[in-house]
Amino acid sequence: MAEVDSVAADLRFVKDALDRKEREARRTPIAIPMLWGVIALAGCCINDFNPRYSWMYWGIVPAIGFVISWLIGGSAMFKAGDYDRETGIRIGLHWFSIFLAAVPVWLLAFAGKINGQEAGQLLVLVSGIVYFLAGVHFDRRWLWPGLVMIVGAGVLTYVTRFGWTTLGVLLFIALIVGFSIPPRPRHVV
Amino acid sequence: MSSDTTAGKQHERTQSTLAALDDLLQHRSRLGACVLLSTSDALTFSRLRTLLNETDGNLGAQLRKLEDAGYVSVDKRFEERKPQSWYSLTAAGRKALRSHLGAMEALLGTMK
Repeated sequence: MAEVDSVAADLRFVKDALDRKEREARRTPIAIPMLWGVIALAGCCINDFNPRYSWMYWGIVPAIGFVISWLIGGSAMFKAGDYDRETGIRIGLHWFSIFLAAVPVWLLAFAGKINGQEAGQLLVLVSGIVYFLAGVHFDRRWLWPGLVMIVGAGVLTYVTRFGWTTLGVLLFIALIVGFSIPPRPRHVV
Repeated sequence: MSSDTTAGKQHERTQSTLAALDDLLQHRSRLGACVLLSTSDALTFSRLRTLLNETDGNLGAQLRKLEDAGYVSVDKRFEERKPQSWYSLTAAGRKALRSHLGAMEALLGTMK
């Protein structure tokens, strides 16, 4: 019986260590939301003030941002002393899903089925859902920026002046403020 | 009489399951290190120490035992002029861990 108690205690010890590892591996380095806060703010301002360049901006800058984010995430993991390809690929694929969803939206826009404004709103909605799900699965601090984008995608329909800029500022604030607050430790029972 | 037989059988089962446990992995730090390493390609010594809440000396001694048994391999390198030891679980270590965890599960199962 004492052996069994000892086995159970060892399993609890191992489970706690695993929980800690998993939680920390999913935590997003602050540089990533800061980068996306700036990308979103600049892009949203371009949408309002110089929409001619919107397609070019949103076609190039997010792809570069994705590569930089992956490098930042990988380097942070490596610096923390954890080399885990599987987790890196899983997180990378999660974010890459935005680009996959962007392909049919761009095709619809190029075919003239939807206009630039509608394509933009659809992409904000898709990105918002992916941000929100990152909050559900990886790091809770993605929840608020995700919510801002989901709500913003709908509200943009009714705001005719500076709607994009307002969304960019709100998203910037949600990302910077949200990630400046350290994540709450989870209580292990 | 019949309850004696049942208790005897259960005792036998428990004993055979206990015998299936890997002696080297019965230490919680060694078990913890192997389980953590099984979820990553490699972890540094300092990462393992933090996750397992261990002292340098104790963890170093436990990891050396695992290394001697061929359960883990170590890659020592310099990062930004600081020495870093990266530990990985070997195929033998993975196999031993799997059978040890199976025995632990069976042992807990016998008590249900």
